[in-house]
Amino acid sequence: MSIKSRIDRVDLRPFRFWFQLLAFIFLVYGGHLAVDLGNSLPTFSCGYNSQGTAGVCYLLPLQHQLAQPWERLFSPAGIAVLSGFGLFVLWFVVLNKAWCGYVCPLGTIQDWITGLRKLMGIPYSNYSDDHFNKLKYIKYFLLLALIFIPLAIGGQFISHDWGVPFCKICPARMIIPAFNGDFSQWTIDFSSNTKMVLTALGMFVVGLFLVGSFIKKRFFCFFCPMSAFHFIFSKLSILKLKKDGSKCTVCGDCYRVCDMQIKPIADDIESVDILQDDCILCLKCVSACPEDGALKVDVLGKTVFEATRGGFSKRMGMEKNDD
Amino acid sequence: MKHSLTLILLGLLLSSKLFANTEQLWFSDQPPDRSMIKKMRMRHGGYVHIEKGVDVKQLWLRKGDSLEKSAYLESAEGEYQLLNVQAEMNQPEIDKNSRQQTIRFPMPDEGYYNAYFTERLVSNNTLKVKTAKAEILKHNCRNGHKYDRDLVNPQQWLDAPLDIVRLRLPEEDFHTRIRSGTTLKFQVYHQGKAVSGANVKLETKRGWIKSTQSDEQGIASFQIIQDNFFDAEKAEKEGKKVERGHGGRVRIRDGYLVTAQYLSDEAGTLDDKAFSQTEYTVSSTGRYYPQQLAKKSSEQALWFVSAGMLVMGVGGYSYRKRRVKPFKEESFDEH
Repeated sequence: MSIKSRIDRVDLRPFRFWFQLLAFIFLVYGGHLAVDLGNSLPTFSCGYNSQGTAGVCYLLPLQHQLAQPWERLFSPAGIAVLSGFGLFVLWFVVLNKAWCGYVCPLGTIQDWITGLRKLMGIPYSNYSDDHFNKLKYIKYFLLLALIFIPLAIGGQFISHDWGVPFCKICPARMIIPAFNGDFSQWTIDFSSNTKMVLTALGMFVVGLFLVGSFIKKRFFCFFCPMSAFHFIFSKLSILKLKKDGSKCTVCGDCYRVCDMQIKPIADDIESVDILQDDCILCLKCVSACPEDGALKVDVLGKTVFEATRGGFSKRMGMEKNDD
Repeated sequence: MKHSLTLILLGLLLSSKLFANTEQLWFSDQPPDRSMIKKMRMRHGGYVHIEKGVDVKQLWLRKGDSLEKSAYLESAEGEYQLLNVQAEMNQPEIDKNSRQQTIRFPMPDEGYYNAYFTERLVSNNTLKVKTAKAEILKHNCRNGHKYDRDLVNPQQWLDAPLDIVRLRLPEEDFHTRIRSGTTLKFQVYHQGKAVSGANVKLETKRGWIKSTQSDEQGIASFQIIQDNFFDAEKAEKEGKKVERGHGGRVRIRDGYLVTAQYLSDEAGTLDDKAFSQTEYTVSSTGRYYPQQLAKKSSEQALWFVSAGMLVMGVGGYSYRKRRVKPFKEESFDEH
């Protein structure tokens, strides 16, 4: 059996579990070993986890840089903003949205909470199609807010108390440092009304996150502005999720296993580049697909993992029956 | 009672007299012409010029005890020195185009740079060796945050006539801010050796003064006063003018001037003037900020987390209940 066939038959769940665990340890504790991947990571490796972080989520420096006075931002000094952005894109093109499905520490925590729910035998919840289609725009709204609020600070339209607005309400700011025993972010800041409202909202979001992730798989990812930011550049990535509609029987297996409730993965038989804005590239859809070559993962145009009948049978434990 | 009061008053008088005859020399990074700040860039270590992409620090020599009112010196007889991050001693460039005594030096590397100015003169049979010291941080967040402890730790000039070194706080890094209520420790060195019994005085910008003496290890400790900081918003509401920096930001911080003085029986001559004792002084400045946790509440935060959990729990449960479709049995009459 060729290496490619072996890969196609691999059970993705344990591979993903261990990959996520190692990525979590690396990003959340790597800083203690002086690992430093810079400030442009396309994933929630929270900068507030100052002692442990092995690199900083790009949204923190982006908001910080955009809040500079306009005369500086739109001067040659603004090149620093562009260089940070360039690095972000370079990191991103390597893994595409698999940064969410395999690397993001906040995503991994949600998967662990989902695992806990499964252990307790409690069924998960989903949104109705109508609610799904309305709520999916929240992440774009948050993305626009995290760009325009800092710009408004730089233009002196609003106070510096609005600084890094998304980080103030992002649950990663509270939850990830807590894994290093740092609970200093679990506070309401009463030094100004703006800070009080933002930090209170942040704590409220932590409450929503903890229970929401328990009842809905990848609850927060659905609202994540980083996910929206990723999608803008996903066409540039070397890693692609592709679909051959002619081989798809629209059985719906891929939709049923999707943590993000993405319907077009099953329904759309026209698109080749099937990646959607909510996709976290966990590749559960590929491993659940029973049709040879209907779904596949390409790196630089070369297929590295694809749906096969044999792989499906093996993963479903049907291999002996087939034989 | 009267005796104790007299003693206290005498003590206070003496402690202020310890530094009475010494107008301190110190470095300031605030330009005498405030409009100059507009051309400078604020970094973690204060205002800098950017020249060919490199941070260039400019320091002005000032004389006096007040951080607010001390004069900018137009002339000074002495020697400037610069200890860079690699612990190499250099001569900084003196800006000859400026009316004031000012030096400039590039800071290409991350870490602390120490600038010194030393003045020697004989007065009243005493050699007075005055040193102004500035410890300046160079840090740019773009260079990452994996701190090499050697870079965070203070540099020391081993041949310094008198040096005052701020000891680092536990877990201090380039982003650490000294807060009101923090105990600061300074170690006094005379030619590389810790000096006990040196008089050390700390004076804040607002005029709070405390004096003490260095212990056997040359360490003097001060707990920075829990100060009332300037409330810019309140002041503006009252119609007062508030000075704002770049981007309209009001930086809520205060400063201190710390001075150490050490008297030795070293005798000799300087420029044909004999002296029978030597008085060393060194001054350095620093900044401090409001206590971070003073206006923060973890208890309230936990209430908000609980509220979020409750809303999500109840909301999620009712959403689920509403979406459960009642079981409908379809039956067919096959006859």
